[in-house]
Amino acid sequence: MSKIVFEEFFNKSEGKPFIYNGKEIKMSDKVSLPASKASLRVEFISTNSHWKQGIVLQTKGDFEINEQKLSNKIVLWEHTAPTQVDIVVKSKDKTLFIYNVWDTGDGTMHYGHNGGALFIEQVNKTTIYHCNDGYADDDFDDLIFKVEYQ
Amino acid sequence: MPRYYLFKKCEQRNNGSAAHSNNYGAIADIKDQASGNYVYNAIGELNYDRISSIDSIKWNVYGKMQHIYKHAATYGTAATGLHYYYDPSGNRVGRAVLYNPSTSYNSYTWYVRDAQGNVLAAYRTIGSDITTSTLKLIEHHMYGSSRLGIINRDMDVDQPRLTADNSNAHLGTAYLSIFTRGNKLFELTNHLGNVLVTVTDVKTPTPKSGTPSQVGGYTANMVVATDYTPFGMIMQGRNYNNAAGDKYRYGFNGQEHDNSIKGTGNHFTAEFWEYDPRVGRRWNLDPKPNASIGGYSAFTNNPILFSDPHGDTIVTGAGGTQTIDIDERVHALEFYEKGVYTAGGKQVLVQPGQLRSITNSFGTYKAKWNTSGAIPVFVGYSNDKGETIEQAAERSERNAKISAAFDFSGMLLRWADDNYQESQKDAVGWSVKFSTNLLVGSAMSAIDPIPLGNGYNPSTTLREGAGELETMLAIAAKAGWKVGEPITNLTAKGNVPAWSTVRQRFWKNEAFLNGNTYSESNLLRMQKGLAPQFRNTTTGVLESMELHHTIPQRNGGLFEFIKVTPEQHRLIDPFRR
Repeated sequence: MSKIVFEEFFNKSEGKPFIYNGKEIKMSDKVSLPASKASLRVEFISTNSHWKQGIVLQTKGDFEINEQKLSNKIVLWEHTAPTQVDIVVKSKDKTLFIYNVWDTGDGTMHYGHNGGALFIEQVNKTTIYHCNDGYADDDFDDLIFKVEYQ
Repeated sequence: MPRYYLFKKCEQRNNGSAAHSNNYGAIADIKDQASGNYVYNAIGELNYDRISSIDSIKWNVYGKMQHIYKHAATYGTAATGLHYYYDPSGNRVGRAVLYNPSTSYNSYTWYVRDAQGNVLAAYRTIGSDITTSTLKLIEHHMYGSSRLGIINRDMDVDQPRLTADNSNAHLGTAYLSIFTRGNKLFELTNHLGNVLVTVTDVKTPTPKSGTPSQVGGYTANMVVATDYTPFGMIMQGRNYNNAAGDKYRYGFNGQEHDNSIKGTGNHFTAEFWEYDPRVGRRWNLDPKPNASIGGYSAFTNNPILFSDPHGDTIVTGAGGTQTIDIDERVHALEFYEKGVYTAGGKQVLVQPGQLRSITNSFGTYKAKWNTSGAIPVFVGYSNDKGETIEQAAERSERNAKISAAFDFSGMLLRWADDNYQESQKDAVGWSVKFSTNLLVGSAMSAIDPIPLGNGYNPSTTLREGAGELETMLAIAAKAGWKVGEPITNLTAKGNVPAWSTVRQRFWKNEAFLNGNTYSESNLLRMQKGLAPQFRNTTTGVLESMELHHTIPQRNGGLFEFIKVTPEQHRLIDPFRR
């Protein structure tokens, strides 16, 4: 397996997306919401990593999950979250960031370094995220999840 | 302020809506609660629990529960006040129970502990005046590698141990020593350390089949049997207690329950927490917080896999020492000694005591290093043909003849597969990581026989059976430091290292021990003692990883820190500059 360190690519692009093997590679997905309130469903599809995978959703505003109101940022970890999670986003700037995090077992929430990157596949209203965690490869199957906007 | 969400996470409970609402029979689940049932003080410690008739709780400055004031309505058979005493290490050494608020305490229990905090014996006085009341030795604790059980004593320490007997004038004075069976209680625990069954040293004979006048066998005398819900509440209808009084005080996670506070089995105590098993939450904030998990949650909400024997750090199973049995008849192990080693002309950073080669019936397998990078990277053990032990075992047609060796390699493989991640977290025991690197052959940066930072405990020793591996732990807090050694080492001049030195040591070790987690550019930074850098995924700005002191430096903390991102650091430390 080839050793691909996307951190070096992002250092060259100063964090901006770039094209790799015909795909647009990003650090995170910046979603422009159609309204300040949006309902979405996040679903874990698969993981293939020695490290625990998580999904971060971040906005200037609140999230409502299971009648709980949470501000600014939530993390859904694969080993604790249900496979499907329905979320209501109330965003002040109609912007939602979505990205992958991982835990190598040291208790630290890692992101944005070494092999960390993702690309996006859009199927109708569904966005599928293919994520690479910090392990330096380019298989983008460490975490695959989808977000459906309702 | 951003908050992290985890399912079933816990925040401070300001009303009863999230708590259980059922009320069962003898072992009662928590009852319906009115709004405002729980009140916390300014630093997050519980100081009011209405449903448990607790008017207030006083905590000392070290975060230990010092006094519980119960509601006056419970005056009668229930305790109306409890007071706790601690030694300088924070271990509980005494407990006083007040039944009648108009007098002083009615019962004192004193714990005698060894240097590691294990309870050796307990004494109790019954009466309002500790100086005039009868002091009784109530129990001794029995230990093997961990607690085996207790011996109930009920011995008045002011009275002679032996009874004089002068009934036979010709023999003079004899002393009678009476041995009573049934006072010795042994605990049987599961993988989490939960005490499921307690048996005594009494064995009851059973009639022999067909010849009932003869003894055919024996049955154990079980006195306590308990099943627990995942978070530790005693399960209704699945518990049994034939022990008079409260003679066995240990239960969930092997921790001591305190029935005086709010009923049978409803409260557990350990060095770093007071825990309510009915709601699965602690009374005080986690002293070792994790930014992605609520500060009152327990076991990271996974009480099946994890236990928390001290209330501060989860461990896999019941924690404790991990050992690998090595059959020395079949295998020979060679360890690296202190010195400089090279591979491909480059210096290899090897910690003395690491495994250098292993010899068994398949041959000799030596440590191999990948020298293509900036620093040689350990890649596993292989023989002259490049085979791992596993590959050789698969190829061999002689498995039957060398089954012992195969068992050994199989055992290491299973251990490596199953326990690698968990072993890294084991703060109670220590992690024998060399076996992971022994066979997996992946790009692990180095052998890591001694966990560093939070998990390192220089006082931990190996159990018997791992003989040669003891050399791995020979590195204690010695003077001088090299990469791979504990960051707690003193400086070459014998001084405690400054924080800047500790920080540099940590990042150098992180590069050395967990190199596969970082890019080469970050490894180069870390080898200089600098923190790794990464990009903020939303802003694209380059940030450095930080170290957060769980015991603040202003309070004397030095080695007690965790690795965090700046964002996590801002969340958990309001004093972060």
